[in-house]
Amino acid sequence: MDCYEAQSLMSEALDGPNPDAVKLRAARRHRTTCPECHAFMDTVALVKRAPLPEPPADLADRVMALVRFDVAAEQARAAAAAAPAPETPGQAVVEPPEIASDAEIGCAADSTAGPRLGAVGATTLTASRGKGRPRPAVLAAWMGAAALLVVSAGTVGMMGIRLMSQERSGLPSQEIVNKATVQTDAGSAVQPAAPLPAESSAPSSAPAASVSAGPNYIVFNGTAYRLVGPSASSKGQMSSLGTVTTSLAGGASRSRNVLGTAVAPGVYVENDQGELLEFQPLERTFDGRTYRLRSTDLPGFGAWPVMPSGIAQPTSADGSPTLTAVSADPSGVMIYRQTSSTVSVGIAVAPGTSASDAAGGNPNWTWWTPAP
Amino acid sequence: MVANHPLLTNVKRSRMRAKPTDDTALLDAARAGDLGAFETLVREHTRTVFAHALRFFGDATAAEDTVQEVWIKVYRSLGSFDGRARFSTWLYQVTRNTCLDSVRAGARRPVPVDPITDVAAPGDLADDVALTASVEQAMRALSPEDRDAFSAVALYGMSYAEAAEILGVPVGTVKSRTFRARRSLAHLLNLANGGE
Repeated sequence: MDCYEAQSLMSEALDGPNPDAVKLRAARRHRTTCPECHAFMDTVALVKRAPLPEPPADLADRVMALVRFDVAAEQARAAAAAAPAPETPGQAVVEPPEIASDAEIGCAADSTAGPRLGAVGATTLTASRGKGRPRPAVLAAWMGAAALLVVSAGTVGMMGIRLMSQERSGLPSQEIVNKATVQTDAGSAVQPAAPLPAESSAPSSAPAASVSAGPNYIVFNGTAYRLVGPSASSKGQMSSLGTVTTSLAGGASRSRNVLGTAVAPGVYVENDQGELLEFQPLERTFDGRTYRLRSTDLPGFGAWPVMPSGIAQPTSADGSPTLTAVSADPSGVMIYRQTSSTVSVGIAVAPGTSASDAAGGNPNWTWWTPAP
Repeated sequence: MVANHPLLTNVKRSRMRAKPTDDTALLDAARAGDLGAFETLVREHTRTVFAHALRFFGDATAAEDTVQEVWIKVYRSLGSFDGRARFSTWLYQVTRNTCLDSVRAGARRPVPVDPITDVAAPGDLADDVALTASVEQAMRALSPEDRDAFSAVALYGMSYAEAAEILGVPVGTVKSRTFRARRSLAHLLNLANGGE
């Protein structure tokens, strides 16, 4: 056996089962007496052992920021598409650019696939390095996406006005929340909210990241609490802490007493059946400090917390201009602070965390302040 | 100890031969809307995609941009990925096509490399940083065809048959290109290390 054949066989053996075990044994015997083949295999082992080059530590975070931005832009676009035709003459209609075809990007073509996502051309959509500012080469793409959001906000804002009119006409506020797939806060950026599953209109090529129903939360004194379940605790051991206006799980939206103790963080609310329900604050830990989720009031279960009105919304996926990325927490969730302050005041989390995160997959930016 | 070096632990995680089942489960969850599952895929495989793009372009900035484009494309195409191929195979194909497309579009150009002068001596081979630098430089000196085949097999863990299907060449060609890549790497690294 010559060196070329021996090396070829040993190389093949590294990549999968070798069909000719007899020849491979002969090649390995050859190696024991051949310095050239011995050196070849030593170098091959060295190459195999070499660590892969290390990408920047924040590269995956930047990727996920882009993906979340894509999700939010798609939600806004879907909401705009679902809204009736604009009644204002001259209102712009944004057509998202196409991304590369399925064949070009290597996945099997699916003739049943619906309209493609594509708020921003994939070949130009890249998150910035360094301090999270978009580079000039991609600024146009970001601006395009921002324009899409603004236009969508306008359309959905009109929808919101119509919904408010409906509320005046007697529709429950919970229904209003569910119908509004994108909420807008006057003077702030678009804040996509979770649509009802039945009303979701995500393209078939897109994952259904945005269509999960909201959680069983209440907001009391600006702090969000999640439902733990019915409580066996006695009301006699608790005192009244105040009131919360909520429909809970679809009942009438009304003011309800909030009970609790001075020492425990949980609160208790009676439902329409007289059951005492326990709620616990949503907490996350960052840099050794515990934070609680803050939100404007929620009308009932199913609505996602949104940033308090006093916290300016970011307009970009990287949190700018109002938020600045600090670092990822131990679970990999990027933590932001207000650009004008520090984490001691509060922290923010971008939309689209996993369901297991304390933000629970909220499609909105969330705001957290240090626990008392 | 080299064997316990944290970089090597990361390498084991980042190379794609393992955990196809995990990838499938994560992919299914991501397609169902679980962004956390998609993020896990991103964190698991970004290093591999970055290495692939870096070997193609020879420039870290271009590689980073490519990584971001690749994942956006993957995310947007989750719904149309039919699952017949493994996720790693698909990811390789998306990455390769993204690199080629950006060259065709004139957006980026691979940095030219001289196989003789640009492959530095590895120095202390127990030093992972030096070892990686030398191996990556040698990778860049490979012909694109050999590097493509070698990346498919050694970086993404494809079989010769899988790589042959993706690259559109016979299985024997993948096998010979992979072998030729190893021979070239051995030669270049041996040269750089003061060999003949």
